[in-house]
Amino acid sequence: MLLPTVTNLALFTITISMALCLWRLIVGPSFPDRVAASDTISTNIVALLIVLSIKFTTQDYFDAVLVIAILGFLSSVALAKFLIGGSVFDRD
Amino acid sequence: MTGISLSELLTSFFILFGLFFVLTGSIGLIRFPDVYTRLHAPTKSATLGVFGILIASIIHQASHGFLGIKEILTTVFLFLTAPVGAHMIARAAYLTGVQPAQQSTTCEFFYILRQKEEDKQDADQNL
Repeated sequence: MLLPTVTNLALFTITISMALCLWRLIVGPSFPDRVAASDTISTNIVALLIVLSIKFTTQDYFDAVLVIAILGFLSSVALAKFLIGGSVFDRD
Repeated sequence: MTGISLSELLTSFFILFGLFFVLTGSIGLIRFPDVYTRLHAPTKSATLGVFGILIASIIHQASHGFLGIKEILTTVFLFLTAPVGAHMIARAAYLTGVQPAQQSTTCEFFYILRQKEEDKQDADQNL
């Protein structure tokens, strides 16, 4: 009974943490705040999917975990590049 | 205490370890005063939290007879990319001129910016 209780507590706490990040994403005074908040949300989704894979004892979630980790990193880098130069790819 | 194996105990411990750091990262994202301090909390703390949960997953899958290659791959990828992403966000905030909090005093670039704004306000008042 220990592990189901701990995984349910983990799902609850990670959801609370994502709600806090969503608050920063909505309120955040500057645009880099929102980019950092969305990056943290993708990290929390990774943690949520790993806890789900422990809860159901499968390995099916890890492809989704890798894809979400890569997409979160690439989206934050692309948004940062867009903020600096106004374009994601340099033309020169 | 019947029915609790060692792997279950270790998995629960590492999940709780990671959970503490994930929640700490989000609370830091809420509570810190400006962008540059806010970036510290999620990129260090939440990455360490995901690391703990991944160790729990590796132990759990190993106790069921699987080998966690993808967990190790995800760990390495997260530890390589989280500082790079945080550096890009902080650089974007710096170059677009996002002001730090009022109590931070050591950044000379923003000291110059703040001085220029005060001069401009003085000039406006003199007009």
